[in-house]
Amino acid sequence: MRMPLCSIALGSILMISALVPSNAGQEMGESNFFTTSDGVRIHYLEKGKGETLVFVPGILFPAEIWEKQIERFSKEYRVVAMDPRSHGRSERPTEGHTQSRRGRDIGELIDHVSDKPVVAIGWSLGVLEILTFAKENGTDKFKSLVLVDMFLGFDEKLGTPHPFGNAWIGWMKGLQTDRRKWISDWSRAFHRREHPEEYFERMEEALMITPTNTAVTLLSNLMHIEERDFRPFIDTLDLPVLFVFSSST
Amino acid sequence: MARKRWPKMKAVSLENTGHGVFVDDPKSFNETLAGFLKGN
Repeated sequence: MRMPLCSIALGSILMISALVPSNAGQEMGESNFFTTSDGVRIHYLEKGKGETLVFVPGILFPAEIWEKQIERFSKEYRVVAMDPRSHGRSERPTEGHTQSRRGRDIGELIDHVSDKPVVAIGWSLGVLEILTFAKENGTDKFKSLVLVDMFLGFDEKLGTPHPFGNAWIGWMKGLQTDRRKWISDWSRAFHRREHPEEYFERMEEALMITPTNTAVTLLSNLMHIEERDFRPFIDTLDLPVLFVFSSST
Repeated sequence: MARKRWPKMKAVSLENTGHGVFVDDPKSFNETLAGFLKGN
C-alpha cells in the first residue's frame, strides 16, 4: 500500500521535531554553523551583543543545556553556546572525538565568532576540552575561564582514587545494551532538584542524538585514555579563573 | 620571589546541587558568574 506523500512529509517533520529541543529557536538565540579545519559542521546558538561568552556543555549534552544562562547573560553580553561535534545539531563524524580535537573545535569557534579574547565557560567534559586546548595552544584566545563541576586532576601513581571508581564499567555496558534507559538515568542523576518532566524529556531526546559508538568513545577517552591531571597546568595559568562546584560532587 | 599560588582564581561551591549545578540552581550560578564577569 502506498503512503500519501503528505503523510510521509508530516512523518519526517515529526521525526525531526523529536530530535530538536522543543523551545530551541529564536528565543534561545540565532542558530548558526561554522566548519572546523577538519571539515566538520559545528552548530552554535548566538544571542545578545557585547563581550563574547562561549559556553561549552558536557558529554553528550546540547547547547540548550545553558538555557537559563543564555536568557540571563544575553541581556548584557554576546552569548555563544556550542554543540560540540556529535552533539545536538552539529555534524556527527566518525573521527575526532579526542579532547585535543574537540578542544581545537572550541578554539576555531572562538576564531570564527570573535577577534578578541573571550570568556570561556565549560561544564564537565567541556572543562577538560577547554583546558586541553589552552595547554596545547596557549591562553591567548581567553580573557578568563569558568570551569564548572569537573575533577581537575587525580594521579593513580600517588594513590589518588579514580573519581568514578568502577561505575564506568556499568555505564559502558548500559550505554550499549539499553541506550534509552541509560540516557534517562544519566541525565536525571545529574540533578539534585526538581525540574519539569518536559525538561528531562527534551534533554533525553537531545542526549540520544550522539551515535552510541561515539558516546562509548567519548566515555572511554574520558575515563582511561585522555590526560586527567590538569593541576600542574592550572598552576601556570595567569588569567582569571572561576571554579564553580556542586556541593555534592 | 615565589609566585603566589593561583592568584587570580576563585572557587565557589553551590549547596543542594548535583553535577548539573547551573541547571539545579541557575539563580545562584548566574549571580556567581555575573559577579566574576563584573570583576574581571
